[in-house]
Amino acid sequence: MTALRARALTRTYPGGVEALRGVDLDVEPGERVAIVGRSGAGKSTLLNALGLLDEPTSGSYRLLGEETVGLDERRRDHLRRRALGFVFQDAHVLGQRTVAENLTVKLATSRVPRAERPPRIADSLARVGLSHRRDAAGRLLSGGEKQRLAIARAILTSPAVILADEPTGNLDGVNSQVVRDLFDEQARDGVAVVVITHDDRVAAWADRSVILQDGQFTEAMPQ
Amino acid sequence: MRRMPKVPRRGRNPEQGLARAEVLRDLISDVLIELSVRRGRTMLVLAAVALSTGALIASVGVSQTAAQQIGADIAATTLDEISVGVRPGGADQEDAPAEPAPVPTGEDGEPVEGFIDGPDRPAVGTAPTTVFPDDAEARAMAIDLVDAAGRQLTVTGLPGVDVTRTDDVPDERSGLVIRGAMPGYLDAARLDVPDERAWLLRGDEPVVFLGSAAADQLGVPMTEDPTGYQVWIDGQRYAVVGFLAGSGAAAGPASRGATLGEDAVMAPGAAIVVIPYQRALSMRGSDADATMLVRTAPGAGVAVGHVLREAIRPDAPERLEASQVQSLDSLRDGVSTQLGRLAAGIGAFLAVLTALLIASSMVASVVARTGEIGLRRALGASRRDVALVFLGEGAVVGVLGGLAGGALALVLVVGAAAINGWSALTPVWMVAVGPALGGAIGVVSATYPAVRAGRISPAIAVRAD
Repeated sequence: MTALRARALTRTYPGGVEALRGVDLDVEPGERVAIVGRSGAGKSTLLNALGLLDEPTSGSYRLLGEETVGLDERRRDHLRRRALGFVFQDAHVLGQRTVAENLTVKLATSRVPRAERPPRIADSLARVGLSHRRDAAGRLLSGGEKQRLAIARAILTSPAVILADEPTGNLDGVNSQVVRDLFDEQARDGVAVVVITHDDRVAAWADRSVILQDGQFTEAMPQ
Repeated sequence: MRRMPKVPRRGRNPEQGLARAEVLRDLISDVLIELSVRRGRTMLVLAAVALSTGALIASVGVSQTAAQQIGADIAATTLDEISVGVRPGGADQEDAPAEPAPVPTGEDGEPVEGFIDGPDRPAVGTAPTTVFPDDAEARAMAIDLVDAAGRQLTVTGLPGVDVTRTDDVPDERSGLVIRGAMPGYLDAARLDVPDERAWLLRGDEPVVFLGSAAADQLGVPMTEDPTGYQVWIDGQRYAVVGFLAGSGAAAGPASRGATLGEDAVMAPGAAIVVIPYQRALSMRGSDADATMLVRTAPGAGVAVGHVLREAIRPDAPERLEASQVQSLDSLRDGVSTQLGRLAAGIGAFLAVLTALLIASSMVASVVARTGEIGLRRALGASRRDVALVFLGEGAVVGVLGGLAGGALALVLVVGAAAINGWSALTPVWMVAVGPALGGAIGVVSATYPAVRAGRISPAIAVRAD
């Protein structure tokens, strides 16, 4: 089953601005796809639509085979909870909470029973190499650690798709490589990884890169 | 390759596995963490709730304490006078006719000198029906702290009952009150008569004591010895045996006086003609409108008032009413209610003001936490989940603030009472109502910010700084 499939997806904002103009995209499980494009090309709008954070104006978007356009909000919330994992550029770490508490927010939101939480947190932190920072406050983490925490949070509930918005934008080369390695590991486990990026190294790392321009895909970049 | 995760289809509840209690526990835990990481703001909001709920509860508590004290002060300083009357309808029940009053005699058994006797002695009519027993005064006096007690019965206005100087010349008079009284009534009314002649009112002799205005209207000179002066009442001669003196501090039973439409003033200078109670009773044929004036030791009025009816008519206390006690209770209740309403009004205003301040603070907090809201939505939280976090914060801060407010109110009430030398009134509700009131203020305050937080678009929120 295709992890996600978009067909003729459009998004027109109030005022008539067409941010997406008929986007078609298929991403298979375990595939790494990079979406590149200049600022204002519609990358974030596309990520919002794929992440069910925003409703497309028209078109079709199937997530794990389920049509999401026109879906009621509760079901969209549920799909986002169960099928998707997000990694943002600034990590969105809750600075006053500990690393473990940051992860607990995700587990509580996903209604994971309390008894299952400690092993999941331990496993997730071990995967990203943050076990030793379990009780550190989020604000005390370095940029690379924050991004690893964001990835740990994204993979906590074993999503089918990880959507990452400039995940390496604030990181140096070493940490950028760590993030790519973590995504590789997820892809090997069958998770579809969609990354919006300006980083040529990330675009080169992906199995497939597509260029978004004026709300449309123009071409696939050579890999 | 890993298997794709199963996402339950529509129509099933994917979160059925997690008990409601656990969801609630997560919410409370989340709220407590949020409040603790924003300690400064939390403490400020908590203080605002504590102050407003404390002020509301304390104002009601202080007003109740004050009302209680006012009642006690009134009782202690003014209530030494009680009026016992026949309850409306109380005279309709059957009672034995009163015994005819004994003929007053001197120590030698002869009628007292100077008073009308023999064929000229006026008749007093048939035996009347009574609610007060004949020994009502003795029964009242048997109560500790009762200084004086006596019945009175006004006959002014009865058909044919009038007072004149002679039997054939209508006099020009106005507002003369004819009142039958027992000797104890004069004592209770703080009136004196010369040579302690009040005892003459005990029988049914045709004698009168005159107030100075009555003497003036009737043309009776106020000499030390009025022997020989007579007035005519209801066509019969009455010997003037003295004039009223004393302070006359007792104005008589105000409430009953008002009921009867009478001049309640019983003072030495009043236009009043006092005759023996038994004669007035005979004229009216019933003591349904009689009252007993009771004078107690200062401050004992309330206590005496509550046992007086049982002492006078232990067989049927319900046929009597101690009207002054009822008036005092009513007055005290009125003072308490009015003070309570005033205080509650001020407190409610403070509570509304606080709710608005908290709501304003929480709206600012929602704006500041837009990024966090976006993250929660991205993680799968619904609008309701996000709103509940803010509502929960409002409720927790409200309950804790209300708890502190209740404690603060206790301190304020006790402090106010101590400063004023009052007895503090600190009912249990004062502590219990604090958290409930604070919780209500917190939830109401948080409702708008919570709804607003839930409505923030996740797509915009995730990009907020």
